[in-house]
Amino acid sequence: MSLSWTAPADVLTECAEPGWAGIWTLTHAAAHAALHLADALPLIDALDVIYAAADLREAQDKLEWAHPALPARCAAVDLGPLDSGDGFTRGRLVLDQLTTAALNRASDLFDADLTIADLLTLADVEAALRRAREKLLGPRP
Amino acid sequence: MTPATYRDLIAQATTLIEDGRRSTAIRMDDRDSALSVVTDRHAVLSALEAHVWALIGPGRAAGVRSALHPDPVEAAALHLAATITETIGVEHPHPSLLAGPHGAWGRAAQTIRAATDLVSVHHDAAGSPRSPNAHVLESTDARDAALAHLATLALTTASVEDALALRVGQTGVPWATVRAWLPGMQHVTLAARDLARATESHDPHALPDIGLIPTRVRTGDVVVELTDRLARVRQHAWELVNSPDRSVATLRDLATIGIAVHAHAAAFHAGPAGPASTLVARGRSWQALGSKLAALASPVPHDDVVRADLTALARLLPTVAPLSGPGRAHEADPTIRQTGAALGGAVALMTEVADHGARTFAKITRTSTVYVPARALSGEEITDHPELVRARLDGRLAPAPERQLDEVDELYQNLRSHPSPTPALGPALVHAQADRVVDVEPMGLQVDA
Repeated sequence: MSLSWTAPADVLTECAEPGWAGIWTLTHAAAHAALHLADALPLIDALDVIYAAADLREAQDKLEWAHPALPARCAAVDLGPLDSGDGFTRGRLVLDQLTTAALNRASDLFDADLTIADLLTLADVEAALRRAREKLLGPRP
Repeated sequence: MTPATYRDLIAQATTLIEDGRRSTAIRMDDRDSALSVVTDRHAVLSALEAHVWALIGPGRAAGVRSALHPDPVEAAALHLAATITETIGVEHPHPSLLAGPHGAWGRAAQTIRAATDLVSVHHDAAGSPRSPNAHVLESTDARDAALAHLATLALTTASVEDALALRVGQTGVPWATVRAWLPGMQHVTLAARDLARATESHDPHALPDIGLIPTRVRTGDVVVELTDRLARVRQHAWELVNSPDRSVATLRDLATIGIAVHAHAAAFHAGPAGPASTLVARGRSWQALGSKLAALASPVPHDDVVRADLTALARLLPTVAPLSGPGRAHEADPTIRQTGAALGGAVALMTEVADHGARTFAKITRTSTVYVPARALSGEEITDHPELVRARLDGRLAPAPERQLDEVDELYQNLRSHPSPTPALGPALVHAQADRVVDVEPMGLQVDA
C-alpha cells in the first residue's frame, strides 16, 4: 500500500538537481515532512523525529548561510500532512529516502573542486544529515 | 562536591559562629592562640560588614544617607556596617585573610565571605544583573531575610566580648592590652538589635536558595548532569535576551528541549491519574512553537552551548525517564523520587525558559526584521504589496507577516504562564497500552503491520 508521500518523494529523489541545489531541495522537503510526521505521532513517539527535524533544519541553515541564493533558486517542496491511514513506519522510510538522496548528492559533491569554505560547509551538512537519518531509523554504517 | 547555595553558606556560618561562641568557655593555651582568636573573631565582624555592603551596595547607600525618610531596614543595616568599622577598624584586606583561618571563628569569616562573593557574582561591576537569579537577590524579601540573619550573627559574635577578654587576660596578656584589643561591643550590639528589630516579621521569608552562576557541568551522575545542564540552559536562555547574537535558531533549540523535557516527564508520570495529560499538552505547545519557529529564517547561527546541552539532554533524559514502559512516579525508591524531583524542576524551569524566549523573540522582532520564504506567504498577504509578489515569483525571502509573528508570540505567552492544574483541553488522553501516555490514536499502525 502506498503512502500519500511516496509518489512525490520518488519524484524528488529522481528529479532533484545534483549539487547544492538538490541537497537543499531534498533537505528542505525532509525537514518539513519530519515536522508533519511529528504532528501525527503521539508525543512520546515523536521525539526522535523532532530531534531529526532539528538536525535537518540545521543542515538547511548551514546550506543557506553558505549559499544565500539557494532558497530563491531551488524548488521548495512540502509533502504536506500525513493522510490518516498512512503508516508511521512508512513515513519514516520516506524521510530516510529523502535524507539518503541528499547525502548521496553531498557525497558526489565531495568529488568536485570545492573551496575550503564549501568543503567545511558540506562536511557540516553531511554530519547533520547523518545524525538525522540515525535518529529516524537507528545507527547504520 | 555539591556547589553551595547562599542558604547553605549562611547556615554553615551560623553553626561555626555558635562553635566559636562555645569555645570561649575554655581556657586558651598561650598568648599566640589568644591573639589568633581575637583576630579571627574580628574577621567575622569584618566579613559581616562586607556582606552588608554586598546586599545594599554603595550606590544604594548614597540614596539612603541623603533620603529624608530612608528605608528603615537599609538605614539600620548601614548603621551596623558603620559601627563595625568604627569598632574594629578598617584594615583591608583583613589580616586573617592573609594568615588563613585557624579555628571556628576564622572558618566562619571565610564562609561569610564566600556568601558575599556568591551575592556579588550575580551582578557586574555596574550593578547590572548577570544571571536570572539576580532579581531574587534584589528583592526586598530576600534582602530582609539575609539582613535578619546577619543581625543575629552579629549579636552572637559581639556577645562573647567579655568572656573572650577574660580568656585572653588569663593567658598573661596585660589587661591594658586586652582593653586595647577588645574595646567593647556595646555599639555593635545596639546596632545589631536595631537591625533585628527592623527586619522582624510575623511571616519571615526564607533565605534565597541560590548558587553560583552555572557554567560547569558535573558528569559523574546522570541526574546531577541533567540538573546542571538544565540550569545552564536557563542561564543561556536568560543571557540570550540581551545578547547581540540572539537568534531564531537558538530559540528553536530551546523549543526542542522544551518538547523533550515534557515528553519524558509525561512518560515518567504515565498512569490513570496524575499530571501526564497536562505535561503532554505543554509538550505539544512547545512542539507547535518549534514548528512555527522552523518556518522563520535565522540569519544568526545557533548558540553552541545550548546545542551541546540539547544533544546531551537527548542522551540523558531517556536514561532517567524512558519513554517506553509504565510510569514510575508512584515508586517509593529514593532514586526514582530524586529523578521525579529533577524532572519537576525541569518542567518548572522550562516555564522560565519560555519567558526568556518570549522576551528574546520580542527583541528580535523589534530590533530587526524576521524573514520567511516569500513562497510561504498566502495570496491575501501579498495581494496589496507588489514587492512581495515579486519576491514570491523570484523565490526570495520576505519580511514575516504579522500573523506569523503573532502566532509565535501567542504560543510563548501560553508557555510562559504556569501550567494549569487541570488537564488541558484538546485530544483526549488515551492509554493505548497499560500506563502508556498516548495523546493521539496511533493511526495507521495497521498499515505498517
